[in-house]
Amino acid sequence: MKLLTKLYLGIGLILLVFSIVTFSYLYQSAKLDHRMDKVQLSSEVLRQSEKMQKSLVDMETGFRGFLIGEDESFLQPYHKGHDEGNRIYKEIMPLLEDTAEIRLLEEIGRIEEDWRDNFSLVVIDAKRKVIKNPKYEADFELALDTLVKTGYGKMKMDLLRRKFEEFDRHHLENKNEQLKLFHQSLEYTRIISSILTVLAIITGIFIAYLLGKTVRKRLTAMINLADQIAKGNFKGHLTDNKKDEMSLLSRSLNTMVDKLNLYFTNLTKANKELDQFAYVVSHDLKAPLRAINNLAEWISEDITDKDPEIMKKLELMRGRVQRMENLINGILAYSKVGRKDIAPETFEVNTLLGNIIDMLAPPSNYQIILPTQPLTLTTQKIMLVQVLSNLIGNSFKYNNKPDGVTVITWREAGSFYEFMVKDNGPGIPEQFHDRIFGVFQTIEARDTRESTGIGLAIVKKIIEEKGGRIRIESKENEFTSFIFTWPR
Amino acid sequence: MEDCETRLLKLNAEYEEFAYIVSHDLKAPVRAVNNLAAWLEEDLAGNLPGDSEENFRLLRNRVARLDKMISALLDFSRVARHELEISEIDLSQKIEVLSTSLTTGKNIIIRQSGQVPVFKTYAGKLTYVLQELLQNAILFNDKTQTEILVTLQDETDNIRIVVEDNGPGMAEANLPKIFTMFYTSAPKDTMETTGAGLAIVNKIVTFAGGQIFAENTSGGFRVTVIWPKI
Repeated sequence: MKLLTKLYLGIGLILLVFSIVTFSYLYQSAKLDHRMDKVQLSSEVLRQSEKMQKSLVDMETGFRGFLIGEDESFLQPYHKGHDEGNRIYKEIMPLLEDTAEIRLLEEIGRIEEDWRDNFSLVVIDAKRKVIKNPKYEADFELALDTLVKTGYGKMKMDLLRRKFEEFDRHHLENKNEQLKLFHQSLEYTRIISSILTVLAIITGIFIAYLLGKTVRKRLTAMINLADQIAKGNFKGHLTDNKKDEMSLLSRSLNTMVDKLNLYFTNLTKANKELDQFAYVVSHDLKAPLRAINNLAEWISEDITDKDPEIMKKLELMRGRVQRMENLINGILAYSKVGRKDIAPETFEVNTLLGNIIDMLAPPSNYQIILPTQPLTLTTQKIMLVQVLSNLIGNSFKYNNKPDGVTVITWREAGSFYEFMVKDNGPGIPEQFHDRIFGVFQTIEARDTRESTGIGLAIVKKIIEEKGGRIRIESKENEFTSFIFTWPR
Repeated sequence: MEDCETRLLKLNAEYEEFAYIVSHDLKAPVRAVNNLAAWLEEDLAGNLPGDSEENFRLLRNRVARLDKMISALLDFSRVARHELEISEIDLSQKIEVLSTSLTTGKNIIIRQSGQVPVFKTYAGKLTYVLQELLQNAILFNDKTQTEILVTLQDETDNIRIVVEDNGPGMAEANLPKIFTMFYTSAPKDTMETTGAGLAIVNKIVTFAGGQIFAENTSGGFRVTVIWPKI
């Protein structure tokens, strides 16, 4: 599977789980809302039922007031209570869901009707007749006897009160039930939400872990490989059997490493070949040269003729042979740099410089100024000797001033020491600055001095072999500075 | 990577330059020594003391040898820079011509087998290779009748050239060395070779993108060149 597909799938899965969490939470809270509504409705029903009971009490009070006060005005609460009771009845009825409650309320309605029609209205009518005409006193007394004194009205009222109590109790039970359900739902919602959230988090972590695992191991391998490459080791390889973008990257990296390795191998090979070539060539050229040298020597020994012309020619011939020898020795020395392992030695730089100057034997009037502060180095001494003796030797060999001077200084430069060999000689024109480090490059005509031009090439090769650098600063006819770094 | 490539190119250039400079710089004093020796001999003509005559002869011999070696180095360094013209070459005909010029007056038979079409390549370089191989086969031969068989074979991308002789062959231990500069199995005094021929041949074949290998056969020596068609 492609890595991107995996990534999309993983994130999609996490989003899906979170959607489920949200959806279920919404669903649960809707359910809770519904329960809450029901609880509120129950409270409302109870309040209304209380009002309805109060209206009944009002009716009863009005009824009794009328009987005692014998005034129509006392009947006002009676009528009002009836209307109120009817209104509330119609209001409550559609709110009820429980059949038992509906039945109870219907019963309440019927009993109230019964009390009103068959009791209160009958008594009220009889009383009204008595008020208008006292001759109906007997009728009223009869009604009073049969209805009131027998306790019929009271019985109905008591029945009503009991029914109301029953209704209220029933409804309260219902309400409590609803409340309980509400709390249950709430608890349930909480649990479900928590579980789903935890589940979503676990899924997320799991997917992240899976994705990370696919990537991390391979990424680490790539980083390691890159580190290896940076260190100059081009042998590493990545194995990746998956088929995604990272495998493509791995393949590209492998190709890169292979190519680098090939180039590096070629470079090393070419370098070795060049050294080998130079060595073999100079070595092989030496054999006939030695013979020539010997033969020239023997010939000049054998020749007794002291003719100056012949002496001069002999001299010239040996000079040329010497020059060839110098050249070939130069090539040999150049090709030998870096060929052998030389053990490092600890020495004092100023002492070393003194020895070098003694060995080079500069003209007596030539001044060489050594560094002021002492410096002890542990390095391949012969290498440094070769570099310094070449540079110091050049500095006075080519000097054209009557008061020639060479100043040698050093300073610390990070993990290197930076040495400077500065003379007040003819200087080196800028266009030669690159070329003078080439093999056999010498600025002067080849025959004027005993120089092969290989010295600076060797100097540069040694310094670069040690990881340092060399550069020139020069002003024509004023000075030349060779500045090179040497590892500490 | 690019750095590596430029360094490689630079190193190769340095290689060429090195060989070129070596040969050029050495040539001048060699010529000077040769001239001076000749003049001295002339000046002293008739009253050369003791062994001097022999010494002069040896001196000039060694100088000539050194000169040859240096010329070979020059040739070697020129492989990648000279004779880069690409032209058609008819191998069979070329071998015919070379055989005629090499076999004059000696008991040598050069035979050919196989045919390859005329093709375009570094004709001059390939000719040099053929000449060198044939010359070597003749030069080192120790039989009264020198027999050389050149087999040509047309492969898809390459031409295979096999040069077989009935000579003494080469000690197995020395086989890997034969393509290095100045290596020669013969004593340096007896033969007029510098040991540069096969080194140059090897460099040419490698330069052209081909391969070369040498082996001993039951009755002689065999060199195989795989030369790419362009």
